[in-house]
Amino acid sequence: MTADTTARPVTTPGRARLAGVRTALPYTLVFLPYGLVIGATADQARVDDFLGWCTSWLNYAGASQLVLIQMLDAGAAPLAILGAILLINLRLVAYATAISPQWRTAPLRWKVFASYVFVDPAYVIATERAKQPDAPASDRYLRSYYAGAAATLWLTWLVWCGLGVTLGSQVAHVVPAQTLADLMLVSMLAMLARDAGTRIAAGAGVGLGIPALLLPAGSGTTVAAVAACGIAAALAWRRLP
Amino acid sequence: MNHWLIAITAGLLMFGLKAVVPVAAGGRDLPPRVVALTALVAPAVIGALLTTSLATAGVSTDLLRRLAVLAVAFAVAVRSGSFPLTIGAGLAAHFVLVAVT
Repeated sequence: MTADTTARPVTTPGRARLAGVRTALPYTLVFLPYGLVIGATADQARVDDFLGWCTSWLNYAGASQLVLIQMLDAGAAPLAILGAILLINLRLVAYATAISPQWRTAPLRWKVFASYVFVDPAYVIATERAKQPDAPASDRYLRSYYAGAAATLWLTWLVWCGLGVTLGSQVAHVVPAQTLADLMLVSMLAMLARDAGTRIAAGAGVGLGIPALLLPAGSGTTVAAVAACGIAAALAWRRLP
Repeated sequence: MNHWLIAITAGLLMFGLKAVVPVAAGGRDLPPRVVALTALVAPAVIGALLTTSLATAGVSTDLLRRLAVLAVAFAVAVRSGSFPLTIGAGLAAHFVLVAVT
């Protein structure tokens, strides 16, 4: 019996990364207007332009980056800002828990990188690929695929935000900034509110946001969100496994 | 407090949230109830953000237009589950309403 000298591995880490890059590219186009809007918001806000751009990599997660810039501009108290950032990003703990089995055997430095670039679209891309029937059942493949996709999203996000900061008010002439910010929030709301518990939380957040306007600048949102979580948790606790 | 300090602290907080399970917990899973409850937070926060953002517009045609755009976008989001479609539909509704009002 002779060895099959033409045999090659089905995929290599390099090919897996390239596949992740290809999958992520359409997403980068969808997020272009958002990056422009957030960058332009930073330019228009009472925040240093360079800091405004730096939030794209210091605070890498679209919705909370926008919230950070808006709350800094509004002069919100630091604790209110940090509280809002904490709350809005808690969902990432749930996502990280879902994906962490694929990362268990990875080196620590890889986990640090992967955690840093971990955002909603990267999670969606990685988990969708894992579900596909033709996906290699190899954690190493899935990690490489994730790395390619997540790095692409991260890099382009920095570029889009930089363009937004540079173009500043000119973006508003082309891109309806407030409308895009609203659409980002409502899209995330619709996609996150998938079951009874999350729908109650969303509805409570919307309802409690109105009386919360009476509270000092910046703290109303946080208080409304905490109260809404409490209501949803109390109602959902009994149904949880 | 300095803006840079707030931004850096917020960044470390965000990284900590993302890394706590894969890095700090050694990949061990959090209790299912804890994980399920963390999923409630984002919809609550985003719902509150949306309302407070809309409320700043006051009672005006601008508010009505924004509400109409969001109603269209929400319906598309729920039916399609597609981010690009939702954004496209919302923007289309926005430009149509701007043109007619």
